[in-house]
Amino acid sequence: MMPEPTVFIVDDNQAVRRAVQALVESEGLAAETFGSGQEFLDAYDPQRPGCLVLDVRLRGSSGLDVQDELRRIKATLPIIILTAYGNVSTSVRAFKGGAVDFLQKPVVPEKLLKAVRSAIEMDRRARDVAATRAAVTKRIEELTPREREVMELLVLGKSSKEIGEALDLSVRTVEGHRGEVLRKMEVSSAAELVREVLAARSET
Amino acid sequence: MTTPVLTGTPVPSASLQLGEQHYRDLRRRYTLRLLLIYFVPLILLTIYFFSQHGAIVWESERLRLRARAEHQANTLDLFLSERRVNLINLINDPHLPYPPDSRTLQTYLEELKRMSETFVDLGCFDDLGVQTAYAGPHPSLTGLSYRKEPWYVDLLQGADDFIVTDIYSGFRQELHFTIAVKRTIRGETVVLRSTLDPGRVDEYIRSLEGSGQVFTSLVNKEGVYQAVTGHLGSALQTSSFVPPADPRLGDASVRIEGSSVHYGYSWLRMADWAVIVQWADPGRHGALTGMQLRMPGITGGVFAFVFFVIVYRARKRVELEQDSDRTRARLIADLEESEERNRLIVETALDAVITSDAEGVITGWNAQAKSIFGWPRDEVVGQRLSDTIVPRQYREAHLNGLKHFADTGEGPILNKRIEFMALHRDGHEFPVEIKVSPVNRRGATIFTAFVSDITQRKRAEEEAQKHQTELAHVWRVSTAGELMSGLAHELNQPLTAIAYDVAACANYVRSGKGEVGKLVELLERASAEAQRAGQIVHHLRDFVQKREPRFETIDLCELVRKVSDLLEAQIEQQAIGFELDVGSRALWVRADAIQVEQVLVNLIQNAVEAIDEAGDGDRELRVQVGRSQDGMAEVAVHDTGMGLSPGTSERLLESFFTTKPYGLGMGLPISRSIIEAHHGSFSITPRLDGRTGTTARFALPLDPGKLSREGQ
Repeated sequence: MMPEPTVFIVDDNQAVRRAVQALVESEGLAAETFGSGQEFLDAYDPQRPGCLVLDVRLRGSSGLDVQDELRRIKATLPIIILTAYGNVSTSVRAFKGGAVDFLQKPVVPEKLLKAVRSAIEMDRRARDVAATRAAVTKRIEELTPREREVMELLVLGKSSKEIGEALDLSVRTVEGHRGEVLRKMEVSSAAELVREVLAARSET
Repeated sequence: MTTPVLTGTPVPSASLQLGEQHYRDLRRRYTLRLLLIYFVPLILLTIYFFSQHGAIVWESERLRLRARAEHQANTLDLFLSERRVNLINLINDPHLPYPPDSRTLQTYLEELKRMSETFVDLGCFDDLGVQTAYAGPHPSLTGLSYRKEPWYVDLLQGADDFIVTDIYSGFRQELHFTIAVKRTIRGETVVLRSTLDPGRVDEYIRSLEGSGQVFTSLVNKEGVYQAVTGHLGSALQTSSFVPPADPRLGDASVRIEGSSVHYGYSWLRMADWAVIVQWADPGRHGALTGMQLRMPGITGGVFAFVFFVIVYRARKRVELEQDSDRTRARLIADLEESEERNRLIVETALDAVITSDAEGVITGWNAQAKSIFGWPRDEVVGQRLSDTIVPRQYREAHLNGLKHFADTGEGPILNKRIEFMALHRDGHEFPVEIKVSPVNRRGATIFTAFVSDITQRKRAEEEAQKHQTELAHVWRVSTAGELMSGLAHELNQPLTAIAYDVAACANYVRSGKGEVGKLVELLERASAEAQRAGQIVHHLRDFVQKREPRFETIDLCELVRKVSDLLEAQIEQQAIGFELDVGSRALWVRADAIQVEQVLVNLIQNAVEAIDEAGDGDRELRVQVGRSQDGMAEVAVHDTGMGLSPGTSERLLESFFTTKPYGLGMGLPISRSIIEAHHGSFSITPRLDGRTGTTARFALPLDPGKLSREGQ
């Protein structure tokens, strides 16, 4: 079971930080606040779902630097960037860095909440996809080498006869492997197998 | 007041116009004095040397004459002595028969003549004085008795064995003289006599005279010439000079016919004759004549030279005197002029000059003092300063100050220009600038005060201040726009916080989940933030509002932090690295916060523009706050711009000088005047850390009250 998503708030202005926290909590979401980017990076656990609300202008370091650091450690936490001055170069850099939203202050509460909610949803989905992909990959690893060969050819849409010819096996033997592959991959048909494997491989 | 400047008595101008006559007299006096000083000793010396010289010459003349005389006398002595020896040898000759006959004598005579041609004849006398034998030119003399002849008597009676007679005529009536010798043979006295030719003696003497420098004569005891040079006379005449018998050798001067003739003499040993030598030409001969001739010429030359030197010296001296007189006259004129000027300055200056004694009783009061304070001199002198021109609220301090000075000799207000309030006779107070100097006069202290009425100046200063404030305001408004984005961000923070807090409240209320405590907390927070927003707005209004400067004790560090916050975003937007270096300790200064902010905003803006202008590069802006070396609170703004071009730094602080295309050229001059109004310092220099760029810095004096409070 996945833990509760948390909204991580990084802003050097205490009043703003606390207000964002109050707003988020009033929506029934968990929130944690940090006074600086470094404070957040030190405490961050990539396993924890949620999203990050990051003020682009922080004392000591820029919000964009925090974003860079998260990308470096391959954290997938969605980031909502807040900025007082929306200029093009900052927003381009922010989006390239994988920000999900780039909001110019002042941000009306509803807009912020909407952004937070969608970011959390995005995170949840991403984590689901990642989990599914991990499960399929794990099942593929449990196949015997022969079964994996048969599976690769099945994914390519080959018939049992074509597979038997390609692997110099009888059709009967191929059918046996096919049934084993479908069972081990927990799918009911070759079509389903193709979809799952391609989905798992598409983004890696 | 005893100085002349205040009594106002002009010094009478001494007449220093000295005429030519004065300097002619002076020259004459100098010349005469110098002549006396130089000529009297010179003349005395000349006389002394002249007489010395004469004496020496005279002495040498005398010695020379004596030497001549002695020499000639010796020669004659030798001559006579030879003749005597000839006769002695003859009379003692054992071959001479006695009595000899005339023939024998003839033989001997011829032998004598061979020895000396002087011998004329030869005779022999018997015991009775009869010439028994004779050889020579007068045979008639044979048989004559010479018994009564003086020379014969003298010879027989004398101790000497010979005698030389004077020249005489005798029996033969021609000049001659005789040498006779005697010998006693067998109890009889035999005498042998020979006549000598005086002409030979004359010749001999003349040969001794030499080159004719001297005349020589030979005299007997009576002064009768025995032999003489023709120039003087002839034989048997009497010489005008008869040498004394003693000393045997000597010299003497004799006046003959009005002129002095000098003689040297020497007595002979062989005869009672003396050789007399005198100069052949006593008028000119020897060193005496030459010296006498040269002396007046040399002396005259020396005298003339000395005279000219004296005249020249006298003239020179008078010229120097004239010069120094002129200089002195000019100095005195200058001095009079400057005294007059001083008097005029004191009398006409805007400054009132007031003197008082150590008790504060007025002793001096010039015309300006009257016009400034309204009191006429007659009424105010003798009164106390504290009863007249010192305003009531300062009287006690004034009296304390006098007492303090009397006790310690110290006065904090002395010798400084100080602004004070003064009291006019009509009761109104007005600002004055005053400088009081104590002067010690014969043990008593006198205070001199120069007082100027600065009412006008104060007014002008106030107006300038007003103008300055207006100018600063205009400029502040014109630059406030640059602060806007910073202020907007600053305002955004509380507004955002309020919005979220309130929205959270609304959410809680809507959902019915919120506890009352939570809601109150959120609302209180929102309220606090709203106040904060209000402060920011208020500050912004202050910034652009036209207002009088308001001095407060503020922390310069906090001020810099605040301004940096406002500007930081804008700076970073320009892709400029911003570094703020503020110590943890507060730096308290008395200042108008808005004005100081204005200065800092201006400096940071300038730095940003300079960095932008420089293009790519370090692009760093650094603001530093700290205590300066001279104990002031200092803010430095360093940029990495292109730095100051030569000649720019001097002009930067001038009004309307700008290097920016759209600049007003007002920022730096106003910044400077603001800082100077805070008694601070302001400078713009190239960076001192070796990097390219400019450092703008200003320093404000630390608040002494806050300092001492902190120290406790």
